[in-house]
Amino acid sequence: MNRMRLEFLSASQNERFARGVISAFLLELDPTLSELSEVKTAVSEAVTNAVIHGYRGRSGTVVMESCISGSSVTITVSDKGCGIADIEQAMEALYSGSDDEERSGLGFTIMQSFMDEVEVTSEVGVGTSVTMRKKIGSAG
Amino acid sequence: MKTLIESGTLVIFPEGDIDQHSVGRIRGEADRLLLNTGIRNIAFDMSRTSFMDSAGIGMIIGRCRKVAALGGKIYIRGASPEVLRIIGLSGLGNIVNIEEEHNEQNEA
Repeated sequence: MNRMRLEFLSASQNERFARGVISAFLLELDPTLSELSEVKTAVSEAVTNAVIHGYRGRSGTVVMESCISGSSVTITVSDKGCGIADIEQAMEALYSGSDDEERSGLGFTIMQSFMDEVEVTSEVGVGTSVTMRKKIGSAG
Repeated sequence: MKTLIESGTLVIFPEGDIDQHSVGRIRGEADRLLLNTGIRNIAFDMSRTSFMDSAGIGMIIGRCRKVAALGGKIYIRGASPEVLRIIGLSGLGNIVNIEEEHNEQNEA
């Protein structure tokens, strides 16, 4: 049983930082390269959402918490940003909440594919929290 | 970031992680080269790419649109199994050409 909490500035260079931290934390479960990649990518999507959509480039704090229990890892990425009005719509494949640049709208789809469970809670004007769970080693 | 021209194709070698933070530079360079060279095919050689998330997918889709308007194509080469996985998940494999065998002859 292990847990961690990381707080960092909502700056895009911290997307890689968060991936590095979760990778290091996950090592005690002896993940395969593929499992590690899946978790890193899901975290990358969640953190990017917090930076780009939650805070929209403004300065804020992103929190990543994780706990390991048995062979499962639970990761929560949360922000105190603008929140999501319609979570179902936001999670629709290819829906992008941003008109500028080139958003693929795939963030939630990737999280749901790579993790076993994804839960999103959000309130407009308050913030968003994404919790993901994955059992490591179940692929055999 | 290494780039070269080979047989009418712009070959771009993204290095390290392709995420929302780093994707702007790759996009900018690719678009600049498309404009300046008049070449309409792009090959992304991912042999130096350690990671890619959906920001990279979005960038590639954007380049697909640009080159399609010019009658060109996008190729992906040297991608790791992890990068191929996310390309597959996104459906990008249906609109780009994936060259699974890394062609060592073309590394200048």
